[in-house]
Amino acid sequence: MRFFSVGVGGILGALARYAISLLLNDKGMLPWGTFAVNVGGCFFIALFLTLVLHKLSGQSYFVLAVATGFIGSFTTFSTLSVEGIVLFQTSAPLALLYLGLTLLVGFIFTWFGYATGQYILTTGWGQRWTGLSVKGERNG
Amino acid sequence: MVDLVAVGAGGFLGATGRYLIGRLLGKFWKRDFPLSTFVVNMLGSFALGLLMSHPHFISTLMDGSARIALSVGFMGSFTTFSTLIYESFMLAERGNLSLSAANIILSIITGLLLAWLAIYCF
Repeated sequence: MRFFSVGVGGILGALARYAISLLLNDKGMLPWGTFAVNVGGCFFIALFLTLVLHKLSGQSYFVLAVATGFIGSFTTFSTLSVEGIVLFQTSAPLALLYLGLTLLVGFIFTWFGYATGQYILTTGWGQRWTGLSVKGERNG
Repeated sequence: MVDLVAVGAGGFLGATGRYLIGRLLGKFWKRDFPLSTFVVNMLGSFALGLLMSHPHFISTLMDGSARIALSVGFMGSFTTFSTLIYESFMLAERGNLSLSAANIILSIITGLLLAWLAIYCF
């Protein structure tokens, strides 16, 4: 059942990544589709895990489906490595720019997701929201 | 439409494969270094490099949809960038700056090296 949760999230994450790659990857000097899914996924995984991990286990079906399955598959490291090497063929500075930008913006977005999550948790709205999600998880 | 099914099926297997390796390695790896994310990312970088660098060889073995299932679907989902950065961020947040930096630097350099090896040396 845990494998199924991860797998269903994985299907949706892979399809969403594929759609964004088709839209953006040939639109400029750099593979902006891969860049967008990777840094966007950094924001969402940090926001999501900050909101739910203080209440739910990392092995609960909901967390496995969204974080391990969906966001884990939405973002990709293998494509980043291969694109980095392919870019080196045309221009080393461009390759370094792509890799450096992905890492830097990814780290900043992770911090931003984490900080947003912490901020939501300190407000009453956030406490109600996470309370509801925990109840839903236990009932489902 | 066939491509969507291919990407989805590859995504299902890639994500569960990544989770399976995490569960298996988690049984005996108890240190702070996030080993399972590192292992899937390195395996995937090498394997995707092989897939991308041998189009003629591979096209005799499988059609376009099968390639997309393996590359975009399976390898894309098997490896993960968000978890790598999140785990490094949490190491830094808990005060382990050196391991945080080591995780990112080791992952990116080894990943590039393996992709390069796969593309140019195999």
